[in-house]
Amino acid sequence: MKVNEIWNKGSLPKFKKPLYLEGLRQLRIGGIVLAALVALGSAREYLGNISFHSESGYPLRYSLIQELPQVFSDTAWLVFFLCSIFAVIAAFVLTPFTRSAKARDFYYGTPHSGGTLWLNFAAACLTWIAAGAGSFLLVSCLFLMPFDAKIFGICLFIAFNVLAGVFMVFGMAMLAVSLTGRLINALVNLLALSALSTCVKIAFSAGYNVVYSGFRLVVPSSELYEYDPVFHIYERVFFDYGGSSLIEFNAEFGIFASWSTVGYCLLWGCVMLAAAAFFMTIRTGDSVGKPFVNGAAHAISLTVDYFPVSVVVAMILREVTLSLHWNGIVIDGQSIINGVLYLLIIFGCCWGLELLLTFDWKHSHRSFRLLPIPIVLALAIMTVGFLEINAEFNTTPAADEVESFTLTRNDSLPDELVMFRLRDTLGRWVTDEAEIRDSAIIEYATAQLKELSDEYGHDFDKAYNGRYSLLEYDDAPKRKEERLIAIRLNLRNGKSITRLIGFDDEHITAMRNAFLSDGEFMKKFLTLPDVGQVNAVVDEAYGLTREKMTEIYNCYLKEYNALSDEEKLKVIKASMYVSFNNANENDNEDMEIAEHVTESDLALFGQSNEPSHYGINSLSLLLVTNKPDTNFCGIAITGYPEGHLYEYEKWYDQKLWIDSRNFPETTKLVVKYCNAKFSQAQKCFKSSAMRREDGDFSGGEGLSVSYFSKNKMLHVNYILINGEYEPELEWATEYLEDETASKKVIKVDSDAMVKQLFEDIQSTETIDVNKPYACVRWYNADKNGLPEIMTFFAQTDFPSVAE
Amino acid sequence: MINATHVTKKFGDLTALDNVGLTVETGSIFGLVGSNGAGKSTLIRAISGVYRIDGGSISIDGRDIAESPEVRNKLIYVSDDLYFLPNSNMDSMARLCRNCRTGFDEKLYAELAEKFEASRKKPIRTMSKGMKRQAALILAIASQPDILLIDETFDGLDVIKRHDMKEILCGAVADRGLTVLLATHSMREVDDMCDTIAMLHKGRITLQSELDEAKTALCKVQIAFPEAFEKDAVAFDGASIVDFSRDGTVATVIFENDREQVERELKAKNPLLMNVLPLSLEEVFIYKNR
Repeated sequence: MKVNEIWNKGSLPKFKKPLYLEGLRQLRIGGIVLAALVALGSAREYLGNISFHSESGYPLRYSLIQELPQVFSDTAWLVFFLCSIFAVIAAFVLTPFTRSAKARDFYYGTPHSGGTLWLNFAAACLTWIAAGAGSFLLVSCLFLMPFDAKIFGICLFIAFNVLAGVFMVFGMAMLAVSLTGRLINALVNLLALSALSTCVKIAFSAGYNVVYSGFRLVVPSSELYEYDPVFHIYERVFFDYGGSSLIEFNAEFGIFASWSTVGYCLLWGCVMLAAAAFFMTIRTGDSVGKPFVNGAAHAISLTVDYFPVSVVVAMILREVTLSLHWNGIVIDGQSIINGVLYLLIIFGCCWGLELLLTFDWKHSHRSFRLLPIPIVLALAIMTVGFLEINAEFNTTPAADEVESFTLTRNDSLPDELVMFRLRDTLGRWVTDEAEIRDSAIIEYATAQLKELSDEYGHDFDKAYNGRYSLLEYDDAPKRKEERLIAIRLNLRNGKSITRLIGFDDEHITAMRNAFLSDGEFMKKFLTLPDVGQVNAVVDEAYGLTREKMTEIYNCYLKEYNALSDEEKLKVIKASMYVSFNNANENDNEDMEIAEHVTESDLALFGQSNEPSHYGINSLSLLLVTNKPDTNFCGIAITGYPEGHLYEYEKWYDQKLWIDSRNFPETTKLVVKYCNAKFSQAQKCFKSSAMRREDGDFSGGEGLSVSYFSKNKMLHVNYILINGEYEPELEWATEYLEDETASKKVIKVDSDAMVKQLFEDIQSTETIDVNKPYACVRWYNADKNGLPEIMTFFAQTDFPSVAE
Repeated sequence: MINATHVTKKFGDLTALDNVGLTVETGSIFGLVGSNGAGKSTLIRAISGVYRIDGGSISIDGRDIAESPEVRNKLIYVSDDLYFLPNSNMDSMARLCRNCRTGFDEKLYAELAEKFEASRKKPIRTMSKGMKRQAALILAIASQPDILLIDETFDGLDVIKRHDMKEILCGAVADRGLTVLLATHSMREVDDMCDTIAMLHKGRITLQSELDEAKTALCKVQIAFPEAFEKDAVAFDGASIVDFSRDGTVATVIFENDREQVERELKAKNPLLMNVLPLSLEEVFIYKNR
């Protein structure tokens, strides 16, 4: 029977609620167990995550969201595995009439057509599979929602893919069951089909290029991890692509991935259903198999009719939305042409296929009666993509279209997470800072944006301009010295657009100077929060109390407020109002910040890609504020080897470099606080030293001594406790770029000097930064309950110092 | 009324039903008898819609069975090989029946279960063959069908249950015009219950008539002549002798002719002895299908 004969016959399977409910009832135990197992499995991932981060003291909310992609990925295999097994069993349970004559007599003796039986039981089966897969999303939401994570759009997006995958799993299950009358054989068939679908997927990808997501639901193997939809979206697109089109790309990829995933899953599911129908007919004869054949024919017919139409609609919508500026300003003719071409090609293919199958022109017309379905579907996907994944497009308006602009920040996640690019995705851009209205600055900023956009568009906007495949981008060289800055342009037509633009250092300097020349902006920029807005202290190492934190911070504020605006600007200039997130590939991970500090007075705090950076060098005191529109504030007090005790305050992504010369009292407090922990550390240190005599020493422990005089570092000496003193003069010299450093060497090369150093530390409660002093870092390799790295200060004057 | 005309069903090279025609009046009990492999179950499955037929048509009250879910909703087929959900009991099967079609009468179901002392909660898999058959019949009757198709109706039921079930079926026929089509090997069942019968042999209907007419469709005569005689001696013009057996000078002859004609023709041959004997339904079946 030809497809159109079935179509025109009007004997479409009907949805019968009682039958559907009966199917649900028969599978209820398995379905509930499936959902429970998936929920428990996914909860286990989250609980493990929570447990791990609770122990480490890392803020739970951030860690959860940070780990979200990983949790998705880790749990996806479980969802797939359990759903697949369940699907086979469910298909087996619900289709006894394919194996048993008496069951066939019973079910086919009911007033329902075979197609209706298939449809309703299949719907019940699909429902339970979807419930199982959905429980994963539910658990994710339950875990993340209390932490105010904005994951709705992402969950919806993933759910969309999951459901498409569910259909494919169901198709596999039906085929697996149709091939045999025994459950165990059906399960074995499932394995074979999984392997087969892998091959098909790979072949399919070669032509489609962006069909990653469905694959994840087929074979979630680690070696093909990069095809994982979630991983790919977050780690590859959000991370690697970055830049000006980052936000745009989210939507781009989302739409592509959704459609391609759905396309793959639907097509592959239909192929398997068709194969199942074929084998079913062979095995059971036409009485039982034929309705299934008819059902499969319907599925194929619908797919043939509507999927290409849906693709066409999505393509057109995509082209239209791309071609029109988000604010309706710019029209890209190329995209419109592309859209028309898409339309002609795919519509032609669609129609040609129709003709090939049916030789019925009317049938083609009839297919379009339900055109609103794919249109609505496509619109829904686009909407989710745009609204929930912060999608906006990358174009640069002319300066005269811009009334003002503001620098944006993200209120959801700390800078640390920028390494995962999650901040750009999960958070919301907030712009409550002073608007910059100076026309000259606006002109400058838009010009910069345009220039950068044009310059780097080749790299960043491939999906938009070049229509290159996503895979090809993997081969493109990564840009160096790239930093991101988010700017919200408030247009004269009342709309606003947000752009995330990459800058190199040269542009940053100019841009920063332009921003800071705006009086209003500067005024707000120079304001610091009150300590009362801090509501939590997370001190991973030193046990900082709220009282101590308050004392330090108040002292800092007092000294800060005593500065003139020029002086304030000078100390603040060490960082930048906007977070310029460094995307450098830096070999020297420990020194990345220092390099920037020493390279210019900007002291741009590029964010290291290495998480370990934050655990080194610094006494990290993490403060969480209760200010409604912010949630993250940190203060880090560090003995840094270049000669300054500095602390940086993160407020609205703001980092303040506190020079000990400008903040002597704060510096003293910090020293006092740090050194108060010394006696305990000294005991452990002595213990290590004793072990050294036994020759039983585990490497890694040692002291690093930085000696400063008049706020200038003279030398860094690294002391191993195994008896060998290894001055690292070369390192220090290179680092400081101070040619005189090598001449000013302190050799802490004897136990006597170490002893003196310890005594000096113990006696140092405050330091006079105008006199020589040492910053000592103890690298603690022992499991003795103390941090791995502790910093102390000594007002010391070694006799051998040659000043 | 069930009306099957020129029904043909093939399984590969095997023609299970060959141009079968059948009419079952509403409110009657119709017996479908036949030898093994005659096509009874195939025909009943075709009528119930389980099988799609390859030729001919089957209609109920003038409506094609394949195209009328409403008609099929009032038709229930109880197979000879009963199906129950795994680990089900009568209640869960009742729920299945309720979900599969409309009209299931909970009250009647409860009454029947009580009448037959059927345990509604007991797993059906632990029941005996007869109890399973009883459960299936209770569920079928409680579904309040207009047409009930039963294959091997009372297989496994004990005498009392069989009697009670017959009563209930006959009551339903009388009270609300239930049409029952029984497919069976048991001539006794047919003899006890049916108004009309059809005999099926090798996929073809060999007889369809009222029960009483069926019994008179053949004429069994015991006849004797002074000398030993052969089949030709009893033949007459237009005679259709189905069976002839002789023991000495006495022969038993089965005619497929009108009884009066047989009596008239044979008397004219001056036999020493001639008795017209009654035929059982079983004998009719045997002689019709031999």
